[in-house]
Amino acid sequence: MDGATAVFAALVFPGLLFTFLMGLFFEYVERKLVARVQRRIGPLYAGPGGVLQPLYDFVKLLVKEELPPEGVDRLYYWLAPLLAAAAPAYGMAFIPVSSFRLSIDTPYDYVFTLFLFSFAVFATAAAGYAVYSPYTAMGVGRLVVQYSVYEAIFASTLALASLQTGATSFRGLIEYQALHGPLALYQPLGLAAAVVALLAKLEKTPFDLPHAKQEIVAGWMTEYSGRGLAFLHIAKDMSAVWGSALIVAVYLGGPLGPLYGALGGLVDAAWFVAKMVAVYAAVAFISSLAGRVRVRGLAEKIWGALLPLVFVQFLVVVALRWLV
Amino acid sequence: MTVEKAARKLGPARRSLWIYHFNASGCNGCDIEFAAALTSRYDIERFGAKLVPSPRHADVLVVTGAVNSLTRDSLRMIYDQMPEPKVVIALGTCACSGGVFDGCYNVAGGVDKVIPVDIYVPGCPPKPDAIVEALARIRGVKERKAVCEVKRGGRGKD
Repeated sequence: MDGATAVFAALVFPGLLFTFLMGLFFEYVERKLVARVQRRIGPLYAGPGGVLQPLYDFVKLLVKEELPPEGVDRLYYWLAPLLAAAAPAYGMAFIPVSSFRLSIDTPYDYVFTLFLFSFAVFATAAAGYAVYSPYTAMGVGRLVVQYSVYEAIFASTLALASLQTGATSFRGLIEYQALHGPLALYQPLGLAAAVVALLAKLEKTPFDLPHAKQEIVAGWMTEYSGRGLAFLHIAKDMSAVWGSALIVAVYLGGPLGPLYGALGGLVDAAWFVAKMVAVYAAVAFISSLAGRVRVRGLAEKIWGALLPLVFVQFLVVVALRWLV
Repeated sequence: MTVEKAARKLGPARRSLWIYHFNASGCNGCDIEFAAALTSRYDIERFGAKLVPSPRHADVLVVTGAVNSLTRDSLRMIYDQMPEPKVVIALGTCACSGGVFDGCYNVAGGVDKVIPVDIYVPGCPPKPDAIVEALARIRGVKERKAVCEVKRGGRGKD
């Protein structure tokens, strides 16, 4: 892979631009879906069927006044929202969205994902601590606690996928699934645990403690307005894209499907996007039905329910390796 | 024509109205009607409106109730924390003029005694239709279309 292709992958497809547009679309899908669950209509007048509403929100926030509060750490206040948005875009650049190899392809990119996870949370925490007010402090505290809880689950499910396939790169994962079928067939428990961990990672309703409206205003983004808020919002949407893309690539066969490789990779990209939207719609549906857990119940709910699942899955994977 | 002036002031922001709601010593009647405007029968999310938890995220400040000496400073502070361009809606008769509480020893009067108000929605309490109409006119949606949608929503499967 030469430099120009890598830059294209990072900035256009499947990196920044693709992730940005998909993020806007994901937010639209979520708002419409939640509205349907609540028997509402959802965004309607912005573009056809309201599909441009997230874009209007983003542009509005960009042109609005930015009001940094007193005593703010200027550097982090300015930089952290950008870093938060950059992490998922960079993570997406490694995902093999299409058989036409556009993504950055290295032998250990799958392992590198774990670093990017913690980097994204670090950027968010820095955004919160840039303004030291009671609500942001509590929001960041909850964010870090939640991160340490779900990250154990997410990392171990990803490790189980690596254990079964023997792959340390996304290319290896996709090649294994092309031969043996999607990993969800062998690791349904791992998939379930990963989806719940994704809910916690995206701060969706059962685990939306870091910005719980009724308790701590808007949590770590209480004091942001204008440009910073625009980037924090788009960072959340882009994390949703990245998280769903990870689940699709690891468990659901990524771009594999009927007519794989036709039309110069367009069909694979369409498969990938369709699976991603399906995963995110499931996540949004679960979150629209759930109530929030308590802070004290967080570790109990996630670790108590999911670690046994992951352990059973681990035994299954070891047995599979031993038998096959 | 104050609604059209408010829409011009908001500019591109009128396509996504993020609302912060503040109760300056109201009786909760207007708040309940405002909450009804968010629910399935009226659904102001059609216009891109959503309720935000922090005044720093908001474009529109909806105030209910007359302002008294306790809430005056809070209201002023919330207004100052909102980034420009911003619009203030006084919802209900008390917020418009002080209503029956005008002249009490602890009541400052309507919201416009403390902060500039762009749109007055009177009523005790105002119907959700009135809130929908105000937002639809800011958004630039034809009123008839907005009201039609309300009627269709009311004929739902419930």
